[in-house]
Amino acid sequence: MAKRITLTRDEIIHLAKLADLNLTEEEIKKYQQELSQTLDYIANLDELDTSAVEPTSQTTNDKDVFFQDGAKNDRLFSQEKATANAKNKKNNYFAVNRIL
Amino acid sequence: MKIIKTISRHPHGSEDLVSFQIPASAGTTNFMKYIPVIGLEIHVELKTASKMFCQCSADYFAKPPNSNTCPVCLGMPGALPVPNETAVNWTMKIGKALNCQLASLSKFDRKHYFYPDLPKGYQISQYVEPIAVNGYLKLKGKKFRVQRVHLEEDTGKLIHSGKDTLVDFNRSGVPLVEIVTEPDFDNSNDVKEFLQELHTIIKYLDVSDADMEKGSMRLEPNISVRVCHPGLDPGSQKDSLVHENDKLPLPPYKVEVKNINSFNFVKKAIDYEVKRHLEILEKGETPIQETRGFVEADSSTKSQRSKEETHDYRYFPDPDIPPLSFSADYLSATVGSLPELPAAKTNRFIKKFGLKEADAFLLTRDKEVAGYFEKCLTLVKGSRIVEDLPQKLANAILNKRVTLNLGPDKFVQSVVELYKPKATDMEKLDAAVKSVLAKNQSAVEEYKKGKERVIMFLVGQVMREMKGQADPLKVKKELAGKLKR
Repeated sequence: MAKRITLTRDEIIHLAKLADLNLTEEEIKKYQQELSQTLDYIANLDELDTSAVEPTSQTTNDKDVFFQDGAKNDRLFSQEKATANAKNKKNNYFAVNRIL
Repeated sequence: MKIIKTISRHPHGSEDLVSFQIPASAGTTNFMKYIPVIGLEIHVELKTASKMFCQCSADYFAKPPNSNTCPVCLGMPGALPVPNETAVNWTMKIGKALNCQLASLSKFDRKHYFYPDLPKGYQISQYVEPIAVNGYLKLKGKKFRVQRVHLEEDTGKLIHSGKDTLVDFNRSGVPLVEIVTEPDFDNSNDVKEFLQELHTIIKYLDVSDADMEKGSMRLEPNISVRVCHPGLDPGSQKDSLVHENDKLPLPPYKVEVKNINSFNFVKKAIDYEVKRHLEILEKGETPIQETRGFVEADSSTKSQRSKEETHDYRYFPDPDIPPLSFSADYLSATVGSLPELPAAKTNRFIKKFGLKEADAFLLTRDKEVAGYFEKCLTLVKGSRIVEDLPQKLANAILNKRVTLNLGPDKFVQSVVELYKPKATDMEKLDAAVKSVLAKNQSAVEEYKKGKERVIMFLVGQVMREMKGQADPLKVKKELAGKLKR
């Protein structure tokens, strides 16, 4: 039986900040519950004995995949295409509210 | 005004007392010792042909905004980054040149933060397994430790204009090497010399333009000031300080000055910060840990944002990029033989050619100039016309007495011409000396009153009259003889 995890309000606010989300007071409460449940669910994995398993950060078993230096234009975007999804643009730049 | 002294410690020698003046109003009465503690982060853009994880050109300079991007460097969902092997190899070279251990296993991690210049919401960087660790650079008998050398991707470029910040991603994904030192510096002069040496090494390795103006080398000092309590025995404090700074606890704060693009500005930023910290510490307070920017106009720094909490970058291994493994064979094949580095070249020039240390140092600051010098020497092998020719060649290059636009062969000829003992026509010389003495009565008077240095002026005048066709030593002798009479 997995132990019950309860995220604090401050933890939710911290996580929201890291994820660049603005949460309402209601959402904070909601995620405090739902995110805790998600963690509980994942904590079920703790029941498996992994003491003999090497840690890994990938699943393909590939290693040393490189490309040889050399510029190619195959996948180059035009300025229009590069900025096509931008919410705001100005003279082919992406534009955001001034940050400094 | 009250004077605070900081002590700059040298591992193998003297102490420099550096005085800072602070307003008397700040005053406590205790005499405290303050020692600056400075570490460096240096970013160097590699001059590979393509970017770090895609094949867009790494040459983004002066291109129209957002004209040099693809799905990978714009961080489109599903795009797959693949590392550029040359960039990895060049990072190893930098590591080796800085006496680091090169990793046999390495990987890329994701460093998460939100900033408009970072399209993916994370930067591909290296955290736990950098390409090179634990190096050092020795300068004038002092050893400055290099903690790590790792590889990451550069971000886009921000232009702040009116109410907008404009983003250009042409630079996004250009290979960027980060070099991190230990906080082993205690004064801005050592920092400047270290950075200049590092710059020269990188130019020698031919892996980056290291062009400060274009931002391909960017400097970030971390600065704090350690308070050494008067109660402690200075003797024992000194021992533990001898370039083993990490035996003492670090000050409880540090200030990072971001993205400086000149060695002089780094020096000025450090001097400004140390003085600012001293004033705060003297009031019994602790400077705020924060990031500041350098203000060129008055050589000051300005707060950019307070680090109200430690960064939470949530590093984790990038699952898109398989791990990297480097066998000893691979490492010796890719970085086995570095070019002769500037410090070694300087020593060789001193030992082999008998150059003065200062001249050997200056000659080796630019690999091209050093190469030109050596090329000249090979052309005059066996020539004994001019005494101490290597030093004379060095002088000619450094003082630009002969233009370097000549090919080395012509250059050598001109230098030999310049320095070879001149056949002197004694009759002409006699006439010239008489004429110069007659024309320069006041100089003659001065000489007779004991101002003997005036003779060099007269030698110059005679040489001019002789159109250079005389041995200056003979001219001087002749003049001296006539003046004594």
